Amino acid sequence: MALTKESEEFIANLRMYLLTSGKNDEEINAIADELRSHLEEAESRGKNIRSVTGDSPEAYMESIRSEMATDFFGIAKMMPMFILLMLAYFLTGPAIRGELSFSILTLITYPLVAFLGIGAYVFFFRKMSVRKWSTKREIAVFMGIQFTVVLLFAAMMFLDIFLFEPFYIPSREMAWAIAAAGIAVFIVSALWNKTWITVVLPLFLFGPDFVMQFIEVGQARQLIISTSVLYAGLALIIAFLFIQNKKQNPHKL
Amino acid sequence: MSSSQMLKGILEGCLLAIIGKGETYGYEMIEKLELYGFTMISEGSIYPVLMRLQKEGLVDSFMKESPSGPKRKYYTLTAAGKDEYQEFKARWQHMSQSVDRLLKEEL
Repeated sequence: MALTKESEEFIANLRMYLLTSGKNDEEINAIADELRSHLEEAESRGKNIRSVTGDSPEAYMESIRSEMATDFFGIAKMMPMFILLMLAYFLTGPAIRGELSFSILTLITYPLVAFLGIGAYVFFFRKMSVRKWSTKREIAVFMGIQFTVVLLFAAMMFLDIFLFEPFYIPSREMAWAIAAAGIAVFIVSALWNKTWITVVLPLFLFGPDFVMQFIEVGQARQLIISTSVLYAGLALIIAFLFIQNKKQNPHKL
Repeated sequence: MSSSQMLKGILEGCLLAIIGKGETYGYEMIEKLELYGFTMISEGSIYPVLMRLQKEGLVDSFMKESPSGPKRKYYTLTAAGKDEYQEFKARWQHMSQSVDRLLKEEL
């Protein structure tokens, strides 16, 4: 049975809130399903969502959160894979292009900025799920975070080029080995999480660079090709996710 | 104890009582509570309480097909839940008698 848009949103927000609070997936699904079936029965009898959540959906979400234990084991289990994935995203591209080098600066600041960026996303996802923000505001916040992260990375890259000597530059063979390890991480993570995204996205990200290692193209053309493949790939992924979402939830937006 | 905390404790006892009458699921509990005149609580407030009761081992749950389609989560009392219900009943009777006596007696 279809729920009203308001109820669908409430359940999606509750899921997001519990997920970003580090709760266990199965428990989140259990309470979300239970509330969904309650809302279905309530709405089929002409009641609205406020009769279920009370006047403050925020306070209601919080009352559910406080009854659930934080899934530290689940988080700890995810961490090593997560760190490996992050490393793979950082290193595979430069390794394929043979531009890999390590300096003290990159070693310290790249992970730092990555964690800061992810922390900021999680923080705002939580905020967004309990408070109703306008779409404009949500987009503004995410663009803001994205922009800040990109700017920080760019600043570090410049600092790194001009001020820091790399202490280790892998040989071409070593760089290929690192790239292969990165690809292995993507594949294992895709199998582990049963998602194809971590295979397809790197394919678009690093595929063109890989192919162009073996054919002669000018540097400018190389940049144009890899950028356009990346954006076309991203558009394909988003379109596919959108269609899939529509198929699974035909009544949703 | 704030009034909401007091209501929480009472709601816990009342849910034990409702579930004690036979296996039931969330929406049905609300309908039963309304029948007894519980209109002061929002419907969703039973779920955090059910989560706590389950965590404390006072209720068990299982999934069962509903006639209308999707599976529903049904609850039953455990042995510990039955004991807790008896204790709640005794506490409540004692308390409500005292309050009644106090309020009815005009000094």
